[in-house]
Amino acid sequence: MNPSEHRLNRILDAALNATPPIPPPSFQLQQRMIAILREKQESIWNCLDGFLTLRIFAAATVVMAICVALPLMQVKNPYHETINLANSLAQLEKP
Amino acid sequence: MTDSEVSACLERVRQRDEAAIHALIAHMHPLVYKIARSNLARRGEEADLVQTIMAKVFSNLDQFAGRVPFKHWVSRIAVNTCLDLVRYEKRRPEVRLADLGEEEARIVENLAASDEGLDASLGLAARDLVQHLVACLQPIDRVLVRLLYLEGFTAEEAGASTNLSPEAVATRVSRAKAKMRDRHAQLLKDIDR
Repeated sequence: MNPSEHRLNRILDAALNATPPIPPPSFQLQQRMIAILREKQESIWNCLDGFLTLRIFAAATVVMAICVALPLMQVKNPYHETINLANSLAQLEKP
Repeated sequence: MTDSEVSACLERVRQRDEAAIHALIAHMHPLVYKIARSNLARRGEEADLVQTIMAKVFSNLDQFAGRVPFKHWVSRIAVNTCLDLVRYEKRRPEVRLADLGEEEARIVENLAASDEGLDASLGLAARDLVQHLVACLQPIDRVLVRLLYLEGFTAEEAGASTNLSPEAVATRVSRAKAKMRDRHAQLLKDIDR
């Protein structure tokens, strides 16, 4: 080992030997992590809420569309039937 | 905590069991603290960095799929967070004796004068001196040297934290040490002047 390597190793050894002890986790840290998990859970519920609202809105739109379409269909059908009947009669009346 | 105990604990944490949350924090804290402490340029700011890392871990807990040991997953998050910080640190290709603190300069002088081991009272100054010596290295090399020589990680542990093989860690650290030796030689020249 050359002298420069030896010197550097002595510094590194001294640095490693002087590693300070690790304090226990603080109460504040623990509370913050619990709060993060709670916030996450709430945000999941909010997402679910949003999803449910979207589904309810979609279902309501479909129901409204049916409600509007049905009367129109009921009006349309007798009209078509009348036209068809008139056409058939016209055919019969032809010599 | 063994791997199976950690898995059971994680399951309880996902169900928001407070006792399990405390147990998980106590399990992770020493590892996260070591990584945070060694990668801070100044002493005394560890608590904030530890909280930032822990917050990332807890926010992404659902993404842990168990493909790697939990300890490695946490250490990667911690190292990546520290790497972002280290990239902002100034890279200093040169160091002068005048840049060092009184005790750090004493270490350099002691080493130049004798072959004996350093006095234990100079341990913290030796850590600061290492921080000065690593300032010339690339961010990833800085992190590796700090993990190995300031916190006593093995090459395997440092590799798992940085996504490098132990062989790659050894190669990088060996090159980094050569640069640190040059930097230290520069300081010794300052003493001779």
